[in-house]
Amino acid sequence: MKGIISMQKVNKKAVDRKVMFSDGSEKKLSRLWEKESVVLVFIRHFG
Amino acid sequence: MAQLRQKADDFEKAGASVVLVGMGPPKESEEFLEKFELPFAMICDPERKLYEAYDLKRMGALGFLSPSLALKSLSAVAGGNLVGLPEGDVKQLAGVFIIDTSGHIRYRHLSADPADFPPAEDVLTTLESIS
Repeated sequence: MKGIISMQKVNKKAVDRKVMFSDGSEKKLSRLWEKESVVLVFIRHFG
Repeated sequence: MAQLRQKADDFEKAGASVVLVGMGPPKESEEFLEKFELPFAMICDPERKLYEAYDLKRMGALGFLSPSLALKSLSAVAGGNLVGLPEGDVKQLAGVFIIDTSGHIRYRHLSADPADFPPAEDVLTTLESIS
């Protein structure tokens, strides 16, 4: 399967902590995945 | 980013939300979302604590000499995406994680160099394989 090639399979509990969003709100990461899966995309720098 | 934007509806149909993590403060992050018309939430991590917690890699001193980075930069410019001045830690590398509703990381991609980023189609395919 194409996707499996670039994505490494793991089964590890995700780090959960309070984070700040661009709208200034704060919430725990686990709120993101309590109802649906999340694709968390860490980007490099702006620019 | 353009690929992710184009696939935004497909990610939603696959039952997942896309959340970005960046190193900018809220104001710059909002401007970034607006500039690239990204319909996603964005976490601000100026101190890179989340990057470290998720084991994202940082580039070595020779990373800027990567031929693949040069090719990707040229490709971006050719595609009309001008390379601007970087904001944030230029050595910080990217990564993508798929986290399920039990809070487990099911898949991850830790970029090995600045040009290494999984195509949105691959992420979507992988996401659909676990749904």
